[in-house]
Formats: sequence, C-alpha cells, structure tokens
Amino acid sequence: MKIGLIGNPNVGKSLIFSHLTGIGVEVSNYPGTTVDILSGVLCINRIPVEIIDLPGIYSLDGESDEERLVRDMILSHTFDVLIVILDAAHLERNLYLFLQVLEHHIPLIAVLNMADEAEKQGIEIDTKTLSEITGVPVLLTSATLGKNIPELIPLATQQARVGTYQVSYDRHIEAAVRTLMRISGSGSSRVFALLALQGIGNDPLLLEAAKTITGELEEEHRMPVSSLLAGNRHHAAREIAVRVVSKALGKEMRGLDTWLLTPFSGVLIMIGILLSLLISVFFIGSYLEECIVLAFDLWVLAPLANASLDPLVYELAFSFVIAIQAGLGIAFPFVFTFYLLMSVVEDTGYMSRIAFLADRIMHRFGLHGQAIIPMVLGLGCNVPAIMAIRQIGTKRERHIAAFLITMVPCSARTVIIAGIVSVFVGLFAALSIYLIIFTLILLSGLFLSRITPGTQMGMVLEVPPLRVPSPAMVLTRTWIHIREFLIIAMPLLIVSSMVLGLLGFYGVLDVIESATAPVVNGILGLPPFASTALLFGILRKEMAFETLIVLAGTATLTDVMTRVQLYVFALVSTLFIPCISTIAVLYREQGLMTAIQISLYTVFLGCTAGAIVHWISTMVPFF
Amino acid sequence: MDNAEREDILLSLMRQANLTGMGGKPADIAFHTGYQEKNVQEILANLVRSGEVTVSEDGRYHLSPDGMQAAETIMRRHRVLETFFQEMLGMDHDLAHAEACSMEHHTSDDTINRLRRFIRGNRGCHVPCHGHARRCSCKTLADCAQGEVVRIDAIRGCGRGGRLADLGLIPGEHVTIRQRMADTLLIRVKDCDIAISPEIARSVLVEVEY
Repeated sequence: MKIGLIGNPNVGKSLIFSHLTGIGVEVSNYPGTTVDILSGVLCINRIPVEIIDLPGIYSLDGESDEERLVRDMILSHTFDVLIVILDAAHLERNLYLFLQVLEHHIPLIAVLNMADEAEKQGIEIDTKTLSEITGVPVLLTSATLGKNIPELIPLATQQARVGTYQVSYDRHIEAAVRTLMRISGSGSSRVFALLALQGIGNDPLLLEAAKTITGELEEEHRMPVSSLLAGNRHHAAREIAVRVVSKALGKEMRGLDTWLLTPFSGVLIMIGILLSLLISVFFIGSYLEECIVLAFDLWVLAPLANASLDPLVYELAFSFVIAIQAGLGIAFPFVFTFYLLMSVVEDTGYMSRIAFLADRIMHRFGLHGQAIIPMVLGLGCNVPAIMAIRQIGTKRERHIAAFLITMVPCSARTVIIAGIVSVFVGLFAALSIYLIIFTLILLSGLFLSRITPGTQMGMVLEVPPLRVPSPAMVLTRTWIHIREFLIIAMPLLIVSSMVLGLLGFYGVLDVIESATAPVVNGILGLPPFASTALLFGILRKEMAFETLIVLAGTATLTDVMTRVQLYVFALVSTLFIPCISTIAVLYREQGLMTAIQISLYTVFLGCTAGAIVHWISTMVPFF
Repeated sequence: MDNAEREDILLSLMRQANLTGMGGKPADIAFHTGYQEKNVQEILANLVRSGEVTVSEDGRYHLSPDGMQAAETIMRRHRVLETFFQEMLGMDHDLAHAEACSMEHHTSDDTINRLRRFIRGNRGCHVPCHGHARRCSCKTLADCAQGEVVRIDAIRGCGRGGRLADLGLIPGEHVTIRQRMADTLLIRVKDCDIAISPEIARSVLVEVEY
C-alpha cells in the first residue's frame, strides 16, 4: 500500500512525515529532476505501508518541476491513498489545492495541521461540516505538539474516501468539459478534460479538441483558461471556508517580523545572521578539521608509509586515502556544520525573508530575491547550489547566477582561508579576502547584468510565518544537503586524486610546474611548487592547501613562504577556477559554453587579483 | 440564386484551403456540402463572375481575397450563434452546431453583433478597454503605498499569471500591502504573506476601494 503526503509548502508536511516514519528515511531523486522525494516504510498489521512525502506545491496544474512530478505521479495511480495536509490557520488558500486533488478521484483524507497555530489566532474550524461538504474524513492535528498524529495512519488506511465535492466551474468551462468528455469516450474523466483545457495530457485527440475550445474560451473571456479555472476554484474555496471557519477577532500578531522585514533593521539583522553563521562555521570547522586530519595522519597515513609497499601501489593507496581524508576533513567539519546551521535558518522560514530583503539589490545584478537562496547555500558547497538555480526564472537569470555562485567561497575555500591566512597571517587578513571576493562578486554581477542578453522575470515567493525549528526536521534537511555533497563530490574527488597521484608518479607534474613557472613565479611571485598546489586545487579547493603543505615539506608554512606569498596563494586559489565537481555540474546544468566561460573568467580573475596584490606588495615596502 | 448554397460553397472552399492548402474541385465541394454537382458548378461560375472565386488551370477553384473575407464573416456568424446556443441557452453541442449551420445564412450582421455584445455583456471587464476606461484605472500594485488595501482588477501578461493565480491573486481579490522594501512588496492575500518583485507588481492592475 502506498500513501502520498501532499500539500502546500510550509504546512508542516515534512514534520508529519518524520513523525510517521521516524528514522530510516530514504531520499530519492525522481528521474530527470532535482526534486527530492522522501519515502519510508511502516508495518501496520503486518502489511507494509510505504509513505511518500511529495514536494510542497501550490497547484496540480502548474509547469514547475515539482508540480509536474506530483501530477504525473497522481495520474499514473502511484498512490492508493492520499493524505492532503492543509494549514488550518490559512485554510482558504490551502483549500485551493485540496479541491484540485479531489478532482482526481483518489481515496483520500484531509489533515488540518497547525491546529495550535490556528487556535492561537482565534480560528475555529468545523471539521464535521468540512467532512460533510467534501465527503472525505477530516482530522485536526498539530505536528509540532504531536497531537492526533498516531490516528493519522489508521484513518488513512481504513476510512479514506473518494471525495464527492465538485467545483462548479463557469458554464462555458462546464460545456467545454462535457464536450471533451464525449470526444474522448467513456473512459475519460472530468479531470482529464480539465487538464486538456490547459494543454496538459497525452491524448493527442483530446488535446487537439481542447485547443480549439481553449482558443474560443480565451477570446470570449479575455483571459487564459488556467486563470478562469483558478478563479472558480478560489471562489469555491471561499464558499467552503465561509461555512467552516469562524474567526474570533484577535489582535494581529506580527512580532519579530516588525524588525525582520523593515528595510533598515531587517538588512542589519540579515547581515548579522549571515556573518555569524559564517564565523561559526569558520571556527567550529577548523577545530573539527584539525582533529580529523590529525587522526587520519596518525592512524592511517603513518602505518601506510611504514608498510613498505611497491611504489606504484603506495602512490595509488596514498592518493586514495588522501582523498578520503580531504573529503571527510571538509565534509564533516565544514559542510556539515554549515548545513546544520543553515537548516535551522531554513526551518524557521527566514530564508524567504532574506529573499524579500535582497530582492532590490539582486535586481541590480539582473537577478531577483529568490536567487540569493542558492547563493547563500553556495557558502556550503557550490555543487548543490548550482543545481538549485534551475528553480529561478529565465535563462539569463540562470546564466548570471551560475557565474556568481561559482565565485561564492564554499566551505572548501573557507578551509584555505582559515588554514593559511587566518593561521599564518592573521584574522583580519582572512576577513579581507572575503571582502575582496564579495566585492568581486558584486562587480561581476553588475558587469554580467549589462552584457547578458535575455529577459528578466521577477519573484513570487510566499513568506511563511516564523516558526521554531524542530530538531528532527533540521537533521533531515542537513542530511539531504550533505547527501548531495557526498554522492556527487566524493567519488569525483577519489578518482581525480588517484589520477593526479599517477601523474605525479610518472613525472608529468614537474613538466607542468616548469611550464607554469613564469606566471606563478613572475607575475604572482609564488615559489614554483605552488603551481602544483594550485593545480590540485582544481580537484578540491582545500587540496591546494594540503598539497602546499606536502610539497613545502613542513606544516609551518611561514618557513618557506613570506606572509604576502601566503596571502596571494590563498586569494588566487579561492578565486581561480571552480573545482572539478562544480565544473561537471555546470556542464550538466548550463551547458559546455557556460562551463568554459566561467572557468576562463575565474582563472583570469584569480590571476589578476593575485598579480595586483603582489604588485602592491612590491611597491609598498611596509609589507 | 440561393444565398445558403452560395455561402456553404464559400465555407467549403475555405475549409479545403485551410486543410490542404489547395483549391477545391466541384466534385469535392458537392460531396462536402451535399448539393448537386451541377448546381455547384453553376454557383461557382456566378462566384467567379462576382470576383470572389478564381479558377486555376487544373480545374480547381480558389477563394480570392474578397471571397476569403466573405467566408470569414460567415464563419464568425456561425461561431457566435453556436456559442450563444451552447453557452447561453445550454443547448447540446451537436444541436447547437446544426442550428448554427442553418441560421448563419439568414441572420443579419446587426443581430450577430448584438448577440455578441449580449454574450460579452455578462461579464465584468477584466482588461482595460475603451468602454471601461474609467473603471479599470491604470494603477498597479507597484504604485500602492504601504498599508493600503486594494482590489485586484486584472493581471497583465501571462508569464507568471499561473503562479499568481495559484497563490490567490485573482481579479476581485483584496490585497493588503504590508511592507515596501524599495519597490519589492510584501503583500497579504488570503491571510498569507507573499513577496513579489517590482516587475511582477507592475503587472497587477488594482483598484482602490473607498
């Protein structure tokens, strides 16, 4: 038996899901999309029940990845029962999706979640009447308090019903639906006709017929059929809401939002939150990383060096272990800490507030507020951030966002800045690197928005009420984020580390080193071995740092390089060329041209910035 | 000459031109319209004389620009009648079609225009049009001040129209502007807060209620 959880975003769907399934959740990507689907299996009366948490959507007729995915799954009869989760505090808006789901004639139950929040706002809902009107069982729950959650599954498995309520559409639409239902024969239902009117479906005959009618309808009403349907559904939702919801007049609660959303204080708080997030990752990360790297050196690398293996085997084994060490040394301390803190921020609903506050400035770069979310996530790892830009608007916006995100200092780059600059040069020098990078991002954004062709589309984003994050949700979210990092970046890291190990073994690296010496030594003023380190940086950014230590033969880098050299090295390696996993994702998501453009642009930027710092240091004797 | 036959032949020629891109032969026209081929040829000859139809060397008849216009006028009459029967009177599609087929030949353009206005008249104006210029002001959400409550009049363009409609921004809905951040707006619709960019706000035409 398969049960699907469906509902608007921010209705506590995922929290209900984690209450129901506990641990042992499986995250899967639906083929062809980046939409995450969570599923878990329960055993009820010895029958396995699979519960699937569908992505939050506002409509079943839309064209976004999530909406199409959910619609396809429902149309292909994936689910035996659907649990429609509605926000009791905003019932009317949520009924819109509910009415659409009812049209699909699948047994379902309705869950009015956030009962506690509704109660606080003085909202009372007559579940009995709602159940009578719609013909399906209705349950009032509160996921944050765990109220009525245990009754959910028994109700869904035993009493789910196909709804009896039908939206009565505009008479033109009803006539069109009747016509279409006759055309496609007895096998087709109302929902197929309605979808066909919006150009959705796979029956060519029906679509063709619908197209003619749609043309007429649109000319008659002077608005697209989808808006007509939406209007009718909203009216139906309002009628139902009027009958079941009674609201006591309470005072409007705005609380924190007064501060969070007003221009001046809002921006200050936002900067404060993001900065403290970065700084915590910086400190917690570098501490944990030291422990992990030390443990590896002691327990794995030292025994390996003493094992007196064949040189080639040793080289391969060494590269393999180094890759795992680097991966874990980054993944857990930096990526994990970052995403853990980020998930807390996400779970409170603060992200959409950031989008609102940043919308204006993002417009300067030809983007809109929503694009700030992948950019902030890019501070953890660029790979999932680039995958997330599919969600934002037009081609032009995606192009610009891809450039800017690859420049965002991810946690691997944080390692370089923390490990080299902050340790050997000083904390303020480390912060100045961030400052340089962010300035360059701003300038690149301004520049790109001038030269990139195409149109721009704005954002429409719901800003949910602020909520206290739940630990279970935070952990699930963190796991989803870090999983992406582990499955995409780790294998690449291991393979490329071994390839580079082989290159070093056969002496190819020396050739490269001498070939790049004029640039590295002449323009950037770095020692020749730094070029190999920079090269390793293409694999994983933080490997630039680790390789530098290996090549220098000492962990006290100040013995072999001046402080200016270290600063230049850190600056160049953070800016210069995205890591190989990022390039691979760029190629997959944005095409070869964009990947090449971004790589060349960042190399240019890194070398120029490094050269300028080097030049200034030779001019000013103070350094 | 019977007007109905003439018009049916024009329609048949137009349909054929749309379907195949070629002219029609008298035999085909007779088959489609159900008239005698002899009659058809006679009428076609008349039509050629009046300049509405031309005949090519392979014996196919084509509509001239004049003829095309005439055929389109008839088609429009048919559509208006059919819509009226089906949507206003609630008649069955097949019957409505059949009735429209015979009535299209005997209804004056004036009647058709009045029917059309009648069908239209049942709705409020959702687009700024000449007749309703006063009611449909040109104020958009982007022009509203913080704290203002307005009613959505129409939504221009259809780029993001779908998403807006799903969130409850439909004509007739009340919107409160909760916060302005430069030109970005935080609005409240159906008790939910939604952030929208200036370019989207500009596409939502609103009306201030007093």
